[in-house]
Amino acid sequence: MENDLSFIHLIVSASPLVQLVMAALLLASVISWTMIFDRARVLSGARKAAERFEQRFWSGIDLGELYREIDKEEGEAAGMANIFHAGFREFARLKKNPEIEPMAVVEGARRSMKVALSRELDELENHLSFLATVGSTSPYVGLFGTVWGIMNSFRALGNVKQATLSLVAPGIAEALIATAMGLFAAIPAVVAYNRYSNDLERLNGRYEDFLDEFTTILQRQAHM
Amino acid sequence: MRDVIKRNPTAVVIAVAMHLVLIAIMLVGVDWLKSPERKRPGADVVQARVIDPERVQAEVRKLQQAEEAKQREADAEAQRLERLKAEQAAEQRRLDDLQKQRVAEERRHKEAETRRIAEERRHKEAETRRIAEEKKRRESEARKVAEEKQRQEAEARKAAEEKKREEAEARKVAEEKQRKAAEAKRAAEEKKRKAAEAKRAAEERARQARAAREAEMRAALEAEEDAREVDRYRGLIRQYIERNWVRPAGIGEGLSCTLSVRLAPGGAVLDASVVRGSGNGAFDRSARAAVYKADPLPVPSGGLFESFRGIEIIFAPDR
Repeated sequence: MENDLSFIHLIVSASPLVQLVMAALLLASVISWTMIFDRARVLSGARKAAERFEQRFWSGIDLGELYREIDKEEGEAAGMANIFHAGFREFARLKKNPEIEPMAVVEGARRSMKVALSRELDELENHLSFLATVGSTSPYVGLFGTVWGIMNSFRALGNVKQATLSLVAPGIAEALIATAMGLFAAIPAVVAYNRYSNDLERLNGRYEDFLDEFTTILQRQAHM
Repeated sequence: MRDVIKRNPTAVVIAVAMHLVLIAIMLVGVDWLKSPERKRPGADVVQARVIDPERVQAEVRKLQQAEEAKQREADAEAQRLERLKAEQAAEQRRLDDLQKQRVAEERRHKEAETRRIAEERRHKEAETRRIAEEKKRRESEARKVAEEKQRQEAEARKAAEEKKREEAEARKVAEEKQRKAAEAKRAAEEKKRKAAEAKRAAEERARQARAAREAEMRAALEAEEDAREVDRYRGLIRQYIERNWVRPAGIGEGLSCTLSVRLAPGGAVLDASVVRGSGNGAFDRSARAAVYKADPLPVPSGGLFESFRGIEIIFAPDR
């Protein structure tokens, strides 16, 4: 009797469809946790890089120097450094041509920085939608498995004359495991999604602030 | 997902490990669901009885005595126990020795087993190597056979191609011959045809010549016939005129004159005149009157009439 209600026994004796649902949910959970760890690393890396770069930028270093340094570490530069790199390169290129007006030069640099910014953000929010999907759908998937399992156990109940609770209880318990697994997959995904989208929003604000500040500096330089 | 695995394998490992741990906890922690065994609380029932003190004293003495006896017994028991313990210790030592011996034995046994297994493995490896070599050898043999076969096939193919080529050549030659024969036949036929044509042309020419001759003959015949017909009509016309002539009084016999008559188709007299008179005016006039009177004169119809449009008639009633 005690063996009949162990988790493993319940899972093994479940109907194939419910087992399929459970397997899918387990897979979703593994993948979403992978994403959670991955995003955690990427986002904290981006935040640290932004801090480092801001320190470097406001330390009074010559901008040309900074540009050359970033150019050297090509491929590893990310986030704000990339935005700065794109903007400064465009600025230098346009400035060489004396026919272009200063306003147009600044505008071109700003545009290319915007492009770099959106590329960076795209890199950062990669896979984030997967977490949202898991968070919103896996409870339903689990519920589907449960409903199916309960349906089956009630159907089996209809075939006997004397219905007892012990006849339905194992079936319902095994069906409810599916819901439990769905919630197990969904809750961390939802939490992580909210947390990371908030982080991303903040990073985006920081990048845009930097973009504006740098544009101001460029404007000053362009009119000199 | 794949790029995440490539970029950040640690995350994947951590996630998978976490789930494995959870599953393991579930496997081990079956007890969660086990209904805890409920302990039945033991009910200690107190039994009490009322008794008098003397009996208690006696009882106490008895109990003391019993206690002493028990003490004695206990001493004896203790001695016995000590002895027993010594024996047990000896036994234990013996057992330990035995155990040690057995362990040593077992270890030797195990080592022998290990050696045997190693030996066996070596043996198996050698076997495997042998099999692999055998296989390799067989494969190479098979390859050689296959190559041989391929070569033979290639040769056969070449021979077949050669044969085909020769056949094609022979066919070409045969065709050439056939073609020449056909040409010769055609030339012969052409010649025959030309000869036949020439013959036919000659025949045609002969036939035409004959036809021309015949036509000529027929024309001559027709001309003759026409002339005869004309003569007949001339005679008829003269007879008509003579029949309608009335001899004037006082005219002698043997007079003649030449009359020119113009006729319309159907024989109607359009005009009549004396071309050469007889010398007797009355006779000439009577002759002309006779022509008018005889109107219409008999004339042939069709093509022959043309020669009757204007005719000259010699009028000599007494001849």
